[in-house]
Amino acid sequence: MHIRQAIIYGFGKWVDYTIDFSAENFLCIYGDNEAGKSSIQHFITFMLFGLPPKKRAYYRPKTSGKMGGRLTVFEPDIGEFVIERIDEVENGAASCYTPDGKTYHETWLQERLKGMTQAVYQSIFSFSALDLVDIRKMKEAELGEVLLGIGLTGSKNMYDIEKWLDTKIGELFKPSGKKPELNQQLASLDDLFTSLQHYRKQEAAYKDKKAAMFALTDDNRQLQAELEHMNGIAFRIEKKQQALPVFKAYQHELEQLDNYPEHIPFPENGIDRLEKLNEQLLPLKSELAVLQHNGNTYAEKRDAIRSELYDAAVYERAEAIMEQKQAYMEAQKEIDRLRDSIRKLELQINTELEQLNSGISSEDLETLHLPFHVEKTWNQLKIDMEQLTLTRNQLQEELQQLTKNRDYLKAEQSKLSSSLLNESQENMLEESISHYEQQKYMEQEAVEQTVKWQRMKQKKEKSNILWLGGSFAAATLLGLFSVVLNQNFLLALAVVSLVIGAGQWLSSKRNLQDIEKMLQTNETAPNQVSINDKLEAERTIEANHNKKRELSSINEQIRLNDTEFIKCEEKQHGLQVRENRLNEQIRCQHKRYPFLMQIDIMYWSELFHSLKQMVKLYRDKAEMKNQCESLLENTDQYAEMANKFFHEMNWESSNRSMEDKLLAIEKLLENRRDRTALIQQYENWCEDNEHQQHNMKQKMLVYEQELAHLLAIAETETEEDFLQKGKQLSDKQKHMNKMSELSEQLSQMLRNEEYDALLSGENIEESQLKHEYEQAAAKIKELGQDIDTKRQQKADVSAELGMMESSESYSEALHRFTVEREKLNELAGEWAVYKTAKEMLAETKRNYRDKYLGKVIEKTSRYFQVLTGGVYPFIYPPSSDKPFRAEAYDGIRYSVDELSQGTVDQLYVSLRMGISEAMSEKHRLPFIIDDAFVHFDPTRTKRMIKLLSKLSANQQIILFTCKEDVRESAGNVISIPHVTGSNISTSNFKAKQG
Amino acid sequence: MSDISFIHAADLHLDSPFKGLSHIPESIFQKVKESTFEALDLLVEQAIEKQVDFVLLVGDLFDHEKQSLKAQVHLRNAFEKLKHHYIYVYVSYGNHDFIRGNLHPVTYPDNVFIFPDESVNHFIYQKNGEMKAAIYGFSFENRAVTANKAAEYETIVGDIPYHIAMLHGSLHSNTEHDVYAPFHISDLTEKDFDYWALGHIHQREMIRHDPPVVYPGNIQGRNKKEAGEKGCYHVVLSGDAASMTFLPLQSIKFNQRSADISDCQELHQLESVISQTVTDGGNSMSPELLRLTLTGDQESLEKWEPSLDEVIQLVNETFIPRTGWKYIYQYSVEQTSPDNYDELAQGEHFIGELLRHIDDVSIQPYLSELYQHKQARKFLDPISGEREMRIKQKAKQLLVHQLFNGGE
Repeated sequence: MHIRQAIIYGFGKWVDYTIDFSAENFLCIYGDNEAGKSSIQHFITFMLFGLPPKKRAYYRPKTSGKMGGRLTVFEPDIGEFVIERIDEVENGAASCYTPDGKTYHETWLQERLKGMTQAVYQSIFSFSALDLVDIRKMKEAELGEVLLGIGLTGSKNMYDIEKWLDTKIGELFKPSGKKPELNQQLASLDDLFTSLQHYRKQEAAYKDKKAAMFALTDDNRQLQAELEHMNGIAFRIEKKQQALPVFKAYQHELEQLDNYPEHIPFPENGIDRLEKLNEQLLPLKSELAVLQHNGNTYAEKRDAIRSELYDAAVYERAEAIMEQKQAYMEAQKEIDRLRDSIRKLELQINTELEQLNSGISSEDLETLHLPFHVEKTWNQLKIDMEQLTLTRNQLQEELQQLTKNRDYLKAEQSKLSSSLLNESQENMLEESISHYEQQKYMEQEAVEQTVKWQRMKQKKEKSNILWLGGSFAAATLLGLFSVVLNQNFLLALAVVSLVIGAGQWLSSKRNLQDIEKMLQTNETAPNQVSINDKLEAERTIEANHNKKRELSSINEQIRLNDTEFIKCEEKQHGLQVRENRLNEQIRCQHKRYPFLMQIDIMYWSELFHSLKQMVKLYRDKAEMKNQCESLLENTDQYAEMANKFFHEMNWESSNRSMEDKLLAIEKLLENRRDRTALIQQYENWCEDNEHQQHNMKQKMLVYEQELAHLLAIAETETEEDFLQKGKQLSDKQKHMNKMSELSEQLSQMLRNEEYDALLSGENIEESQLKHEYEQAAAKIKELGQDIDTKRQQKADVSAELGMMESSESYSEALHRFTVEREKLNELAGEWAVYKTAKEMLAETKRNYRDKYLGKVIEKTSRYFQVLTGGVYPFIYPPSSDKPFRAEAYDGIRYSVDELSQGTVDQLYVSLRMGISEAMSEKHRLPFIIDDAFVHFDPTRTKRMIKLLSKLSANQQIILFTCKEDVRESAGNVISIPHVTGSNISTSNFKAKQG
Repeated sequence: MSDISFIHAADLHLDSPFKGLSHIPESIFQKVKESTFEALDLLVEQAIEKQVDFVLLVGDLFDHEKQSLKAQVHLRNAFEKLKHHYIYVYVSYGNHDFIRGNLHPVTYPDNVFIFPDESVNHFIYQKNGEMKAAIYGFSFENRAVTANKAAEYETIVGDIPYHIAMLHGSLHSNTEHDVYAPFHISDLTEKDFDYWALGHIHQREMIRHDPPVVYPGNIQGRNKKEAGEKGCYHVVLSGDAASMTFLPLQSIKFNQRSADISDCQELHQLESVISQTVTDGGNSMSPELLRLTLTGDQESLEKWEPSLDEVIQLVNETFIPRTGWKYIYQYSVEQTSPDNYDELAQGEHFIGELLRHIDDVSIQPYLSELYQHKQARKFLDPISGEREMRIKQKAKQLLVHQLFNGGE
């Protein structure tokens, strides 16, 4: 592979920079320190192998956005192709453009590089002065190994790695060590394993313990059963002991029972039933006795009252009297009332008659007759009389009125007549009015004249001015002409015309003033009649006219009044005729009813009513008197009847009023009524009593029958016998009860078979029972002790089991063991990695040495010989026991640590060149050397350059240097300008020839 | 037909140690040790709370290989607690707790019914004197049962509403685990059972819904493969319908988390990224054992790798004291673009030669120094092919890294 051209778009210091490497296979690139030489180296490796993102970022130029470039490369089997990498494009991946116009990617490029990576490339195909510095620091003893490593790999740290791996492996494990980690872990695992086994054994004992536990449980169960059985036996004996006294009591009761007959006839609950019957019957009996006594008392009382009463006839008569009593009393009252009314009426009549004072006595009333038409006649008379009087009065008033009117009118007439104006006055007034009218007219004329004058005056004034102006103008004209024409006459004419104008104007003016003055005098003529005077005159005349009209009206009224007066006098005459006729009728009435003469005709009508009332009252009084007398007759008859009854009864009747007598009779009747009621009451009581007695007896009958029945059953006659028999029966029952009670007790204490045996007469001795009991108790005690022992044993085993169950030792140990084992395995894995690495490295080294070392040494020897100027023609690689050696020209072999520093440097360089050349047989990559020869003297440098030129026939070599002498020695040099800051130009450098 | 309800659990593996925990502090160790028991206690609590009729435990209640008395005693105590609440327990033993291997004859209370041998038997569950369910099953007498036991299950005739089968075994096709009592799905579904309660596979799986054929998984994860929630099923059968609710029981959760550390510039950033990842799981109340994978580019990984042990220890220390503690028990680093040595291996240079050599050669002989060491070999797991590959890869990384270090 041959690099032809590098175009840097941007990389480190370089921006848009092109370097052409195509001139020669060996090319020296010269530049000062910091000129950017190493950037170019890095650029080339970047183009070939790419860079990780962080590195790319590091080489991104500060002054440009671009990062990347192209590398034109020649490959014999492909031709010239271009590798392009740009940071932003595909993460800096390569694009390769081949001559046939195809584009390839990174992978294609990698194939071309045949397994070369940047790191390997750096270690094989490029070296620098720094590598030498490191070599110099090596200890002499290690130097051989390091150099061998370099010989094999180009990398000087192979030896370090081997050493480091040994350390790591040693730290982890030594087959018979104690300290290393794995050894320690193994030791602790052994311990854990031992204790684990121990705990496992312990837990295995669990099974046996468990079996022992089961056996103990069984034993215990058997013992327990036996104990229960013995307890049962002891219990039965105790019961028998308790039963003995009860049995004896039972036998005693049995003997007692023999004293009673087998059968005692007696009703069920006989005594109770008897007592109950008596309880019911006795109260009934006593109640019946009381009832019988009451009945007798009632009958006695009733008979006593009955004997005290009169015969029935007496009472009947008394009742008849009492029946009429009411009528009698009412008659008496009516008589009193009538008498009273009569008296009152008499008084009223007399009083009213007196009031009338018409000379009529009460006796007269009896004969007085007043037919219905009288009233009407009297009324008519009265009305006529009134009308007559009224009409007369009216006429009288009318006459007076008419007279008064006439007087008044006459007075008015004379008054008006006197106030009227006379003829002369009136005329004078009319004259003054007409005068005023004339005057008015003249005034109007004067005004019109003045107006006319004014107009004329203006006209006149105007013409005056014209006149004046005209004359003045003419004068001027003439004046001008005279000046122009220089003719004086014209001037004179001008003066003349001026004078004429002025004179005309003055005369006219005076004229006007005269006329005006004249007109003013006209206006100031004297005014004879004023407007007020005129109005006054008109009003006076109007008033006079009115008065005249009034006077004529009054005259008319006087004439009408006279006519009325005559009519009134005629009416008065008619009235007199009617009055005479009325008086005739009055006289006729006086004749029939003389008492009327004393009464004014006006009251006749009222008198009629009073009289009529009076007559009625009188007739009422007479009626009442009749009634009163008839009543008196009735009462006397009744009194007679009462007196007769008194007499018959032999009662004291004298000095007793009718009321008292009647009261006595009434009392008699009342007494009878009371007694009769009493008798009736006793009768009722007697009847009730009878009924109750019957009921009582009915009730008692039931009980008495029941009682008899009871006695019959008990086969006894009396209650006493019955009771005795009852007691006998109850005693017998008591014995029987006691017996059954005892028997029940026995059956509870004893089992069935024991009970039966006892009752059937088994003989049991108390002492024998006691003996049996003691035997059983001893057995029980023995069993109890056995059980306790077993229980204790069981508790012990159980505790052991519990402890085992709660123990976590085995579990804990197991877990811990597992964890530690894991740890061991992990450490072992770690160890395995180091161990593998170490072994692999060693083996490969061996293999590689066999394969390549001969070739490398051969090439290295050549370089070394040239560099040392033939002092050391051969070198020998380390073999079995011998180190790296160099053979001098005289055949003496020196081991590397015996060589001088400079010679070692040369050996190093030779080794690097050697391996590079060896490798380049497969990987034909350019060899890049960065000032590796700084410490060489010029001679050696020249030799080196010469060697490189020769080498470059097969392999492109690019040498970077800042050494002048190197530059000079090298044939083809590209000088890099010293780049400062941004001063990087886009300049192409061509390799200088020669 | 009235409902019955029960809890279906399997593979309790009581007191069985966790795998893959090499460096754990004492407090976490104690919690790990108790975790299987805590899960069992929670199972009992749930059974009581849900008032189930009975509990089915389908094998592998404990491990004979690491048999501890504590496991069985704790189990007995749990059963006694269930007895107080009148809950029956039906137990069949599996390949880890097979009957003949039992060293500890712990007596269980009388609410526990154990299938006595390898022939399929049944128990009748009665409720209020009424026959409610027939429960079928068998127990492993020896470590292995290779016959198809599913074929032996037949429902009994009678007026019993529900037929429930307990089977500890695996599908014949499942080769990931030891195959015991192998069966085909059709073996189960063609029989007239209402529920197939399976055990043996630790990963929860509902194989069929009608009728339900269910692996409840184990109740507490014990290694990184048994990650996430672990527990049992609460099953209610009513008529033809079955409702199954998963109840998590685990006391500690195994989980795997990844964190990208490419962007970490400072040590504290690294710490906060890791802390963040630890709490990513959300439910901070549940204790977790975490396996952490740190990803990043080569550069950042190389930068931080030496500090990782320390930082993770720091993070662990902050999370250990919490109620829902978290603990990173293992971590690994993973390059975003993994090292690819294929290219390098083509080279004629030394590294190419080295890589080719590593690929070609078996490493076993190099390791016999330790792995055949008489003291060590009884505790060391043999190196599997997979493990060998991992070791080789690590060795390559190590060497390439070291050889290039300073080569620039």
